[in-house]
Amino acid sequence: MSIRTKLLLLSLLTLMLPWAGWQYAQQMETTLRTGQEASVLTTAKVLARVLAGEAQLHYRADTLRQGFDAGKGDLFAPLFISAPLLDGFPDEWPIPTRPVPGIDPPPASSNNRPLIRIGIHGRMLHAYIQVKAADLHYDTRSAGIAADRLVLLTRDEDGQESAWCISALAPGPIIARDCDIGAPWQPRARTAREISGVWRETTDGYAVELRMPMENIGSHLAVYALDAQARTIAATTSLAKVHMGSQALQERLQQYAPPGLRISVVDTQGWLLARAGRIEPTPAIDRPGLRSDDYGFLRSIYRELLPASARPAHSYGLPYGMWGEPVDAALGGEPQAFWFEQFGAEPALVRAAVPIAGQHELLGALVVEQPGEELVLVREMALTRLLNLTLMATLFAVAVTLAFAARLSHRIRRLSVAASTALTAEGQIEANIPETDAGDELGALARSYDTLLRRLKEYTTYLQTLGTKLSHELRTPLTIVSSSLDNLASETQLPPAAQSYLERARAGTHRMHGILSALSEATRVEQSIEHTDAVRFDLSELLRDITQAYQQTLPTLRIELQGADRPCFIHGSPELIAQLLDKLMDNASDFTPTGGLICLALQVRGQDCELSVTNEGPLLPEHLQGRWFESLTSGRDSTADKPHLGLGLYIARLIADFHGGHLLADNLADHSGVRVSLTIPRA
Amino acid sequence: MKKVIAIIEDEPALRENYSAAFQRHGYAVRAYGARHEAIIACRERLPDLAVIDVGLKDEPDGGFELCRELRAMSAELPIIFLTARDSELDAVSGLRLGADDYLTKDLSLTHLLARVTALFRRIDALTRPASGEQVLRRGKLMIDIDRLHATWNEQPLGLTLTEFWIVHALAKNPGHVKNRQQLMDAANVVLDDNTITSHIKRVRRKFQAVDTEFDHIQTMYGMGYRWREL
Repeated sequence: MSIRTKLLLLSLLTLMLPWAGWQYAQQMETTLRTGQEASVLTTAKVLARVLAGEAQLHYRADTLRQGFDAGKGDLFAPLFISAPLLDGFPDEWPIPTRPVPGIDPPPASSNNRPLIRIGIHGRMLHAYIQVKAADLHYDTRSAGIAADRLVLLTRDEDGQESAWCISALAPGPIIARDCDIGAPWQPRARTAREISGVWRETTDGYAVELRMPMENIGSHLAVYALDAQARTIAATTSLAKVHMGSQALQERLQQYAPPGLRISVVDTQGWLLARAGRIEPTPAIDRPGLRSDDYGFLRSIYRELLPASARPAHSYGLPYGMWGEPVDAALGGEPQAFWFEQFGAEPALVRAAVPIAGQHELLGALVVEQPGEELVLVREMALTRLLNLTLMATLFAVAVTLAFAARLSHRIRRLSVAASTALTAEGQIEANIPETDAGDELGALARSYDTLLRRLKEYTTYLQTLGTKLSHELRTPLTIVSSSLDNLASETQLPPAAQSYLERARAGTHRMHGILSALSEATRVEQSIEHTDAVRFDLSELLRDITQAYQQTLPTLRIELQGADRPCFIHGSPELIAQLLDKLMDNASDFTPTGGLICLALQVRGQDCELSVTNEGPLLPEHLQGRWFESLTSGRDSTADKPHLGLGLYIARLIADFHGGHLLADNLADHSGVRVSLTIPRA
Repeated sequence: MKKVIAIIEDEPALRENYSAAFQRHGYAVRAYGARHEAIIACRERLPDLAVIDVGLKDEPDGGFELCRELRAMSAELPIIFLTARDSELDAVSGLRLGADDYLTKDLSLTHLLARVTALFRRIDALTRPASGEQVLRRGKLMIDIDRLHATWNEQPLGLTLTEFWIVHALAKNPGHVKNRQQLMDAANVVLDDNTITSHIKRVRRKFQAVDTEFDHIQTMYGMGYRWREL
C-alpha cells in the first residue's frame, strides 16, 4: 500500500468528527427531552393530585364508574368543542382515530340495530340515529299514531324511567312527544319542546339528528324504531349505560391548563372525560438563527440517515378516548412520559400520563401533552450545521492530506530514483541527490544519502587507484629484495641447498613483479588509450590473424571463426582491439573445458558490427549480474595460479568505450555456455 | 682506468645494492641520494655514465631535472633512467630529455649490467672507425652490432638500446614472427605487453621520421611482430 493510500485512509479518520458531533447532539437532545418529560410529568402529577380531590367532577353518576361494556351496547358521549348542526347528516359526527369498541358501525348482518352516535355540547346531549326501514310513513298528527317513529327510553340513577316518541310530518323538523313506557309506546299529548331535531330520509331508511337537555338523560338509554303498525324494526339490545365526558371537569381543567399544554382526563377504561387546552403545530418558527425552512433538503437527508429517538406516533382513539402507551401504563398506576413524532395534524410532542388516584380507587388518568416541535427543529438545525461544518472540514482534511501525500510520495520517489541511478552502468557513482536543502526528515535522509554516496565515490575512486598506488609503492622495496638476491647470487659461492632457496626467492619476487604489473595494467591501458590515434582498419582481417594465433597458442581448445569473410572497417586502434580480444579470450579459455569450443563471430548489424566470443562452459555467476565490466570485480576462485584482480574485463570495457562501443555478457539460451559481445559502430 | 658510474637514487638500500653490483663488475661507483649533491659532484667531475631515479626524495620529478642539467653539461654522457614509475608518459618525457634508456626497477641486476656494458660498448665503438664486420643489412636498414647503431637509408635512427635490440631481433630473421616474450628477451628487459607495443610504436615513428613510407614492421595480432621484406 502506497504512502498516499495510507494517508488517505488515515485522513478518513476525520469522519470521527461528524460522528462525535452527532453523538453529542444526540446526548444533548436526550437531556433536553428528559428535562421536558420531567417537567411535563411534574405538571401532570400536580394536576392529577388536584383532580383526585374532586372525584365528583369525573362522573355524572357513580354507577358510571363501573366498566364500559360494548357487548351490552354501552354508549359513550364525547364532549364536543362546537355544537353540531342539526341537519340529519352524519358529517360532523367524529370518526374515532382508531377502532374504538362500541363506536364501530354495527355488523351488517344485524340490521335490527340502529346506528347511534351521541355527544355532549354544553348542557345538551346531541344524538344521531340511523335506521334501516323499508317504507316510510309520516305522522299525520291524528290521535292514533300510524307512522314510523323512534322511541327513546331513559332511566336515571334512581331507576325512574321516561320515554319519548320521535316522529315527523315530513322530512324536516321532528315532533317529540312524551310516551308511555312499554309497547305499543303510545305517545302522549304533551309535546316535548325541549327536544329538537331533524328527520332525513336516507337511501335505505331514515336518519334522525336531535338534541335534548342533559337532565332528560339518566344513566341509561335505549332506542327503538317502530313502523306504522307499531312493530319494532330496530332496537338497541336493552337499556345501555351512557357514559359521557364531564363538562364540569372540562371547565375545571380549563382553569388549570397553562398555555401551550393540552390536558386530558380519561376514565379507567380510557374513555375521554374531559380535555382542555390546545396544541397546534407552529406553522413556521421564525427566530434569528432558527428558521424552519433552512437547509430543508440537507435536513431531510440527515433525518433519514440519523433517526431521532422519538417513538413513532400512533392513533389513540380521539375524541372518544385515549388508549395505548403511556395512558395504559398510567391506568396501571405507573406515571410515564414519551416523545412522539409528528403525526397528521398533531405536532411532535411529549405526552405524559399519570394516574388519578382517588381515596379508595383509581379515578382515571391525566394526560398532559406539550408540543416539542421547537426542540426537534433545534436539534435538526444544530445537527445539520454541525454535519455541514464537520463534513466540510473532513473534505478539506482529506484534500490537504491527499495533496501532502502526493507531494511526500513524489519526493520519496525522486529520492529513490536518484539513489537507484546513482550507480551508473559504467560502475561510476554520480551522486545527484535532490532535496538535500530540504529542512525536514526527507532532507536529512537525502543529505545522508548524499554523504554516503560521496564517501562511496571517494572509496571507489581510491579503490580504483589503489592498484596503481600499491604497485608503485611496492616496486621499490621489491626491487631492493630482488637486487639483493642478485648480489647474493653473484657475490658468494652458495652451497647447493642455499642456491635452491635463492632460486625460489627469485621466482617469488618475479611473481610479485607480475602481480604489480597486473595491478597497474588498467592505468597503463588508460594512458595508452590517451596516446592512441584512431585509424581505419579491417576488423575481419584482424580477426583472421588473431584466430590463427589463438589456435596456435591454445591447442587444447577448438577455436572457430565465423562471419569474417567480408571486410568490416572500423575506426580505432587494432592493437587495443587485439588487447580487448586477448582479455575476452583469456576469460573464455579459462572457463572452457579441454576440447571445448570457443567461437569468435563477426556480424554486421546496420551501422554497427558485433564481435562476439562464445565459449562452452560454466554460466556467469548470478551474484555478479550486471557488474562484469566493473573494476576489481572477479568471479573466479582465488586459487588459480595466475592473479585475478578483476581487471581484465574492466580493461576490455575501457577499450570498448574508447571505440564508442559497448560490451554485453550473457548466458546462452540453452545454458551451454557464455557469450560476450562487443558492438562497435562501423566506419 | 675504471669507468665511473654515478648512481642517483634516494633509496639507500637500492643505492648500496646497485653500487655493489657495479663495483663487482669493475666499475667505480659514486652514489648520491639527492639532486643537488649529485649536481655539485658532477660539476667537479663528470662520470662516464649516470643511472638516475626519477623520484628523488622531496622532488617527484627531480630525476628529470637532473637529466636536463647533466645533458646540458655533456651531450655525450650516457644516461639511464631507472625508476619505479612505469607510466608511458614518464618514459616518453625521460627519453625526450635525452636519456639513453628508460628502465623500470623490475629489471634484474644482470640485465642492468648488460645494458650498462652495452652502452659503454656503443660509446667505445662510436669512437673507433667502423670495422664493418658485425654489420647486418636488410635493404635500406643497416645494423652495426658492434657499435649498437642502426641507420635507415644511411641516416642514423637514434634508437635507444631497448629499441635497437628489438629492431635487431626482428630484422635478423625477416618474415619470422617474434612474440613479445622473445622481443623482451632480446632486449634484456622485463616489460609488459603494453610497453612492448609502445616501444614498437616509437621504433616505427623513428623510422618514419627518416622515411615516411616505412612499413616493414608488421603487427601479427595475437602473436607478435615480424620484419617484412618488401
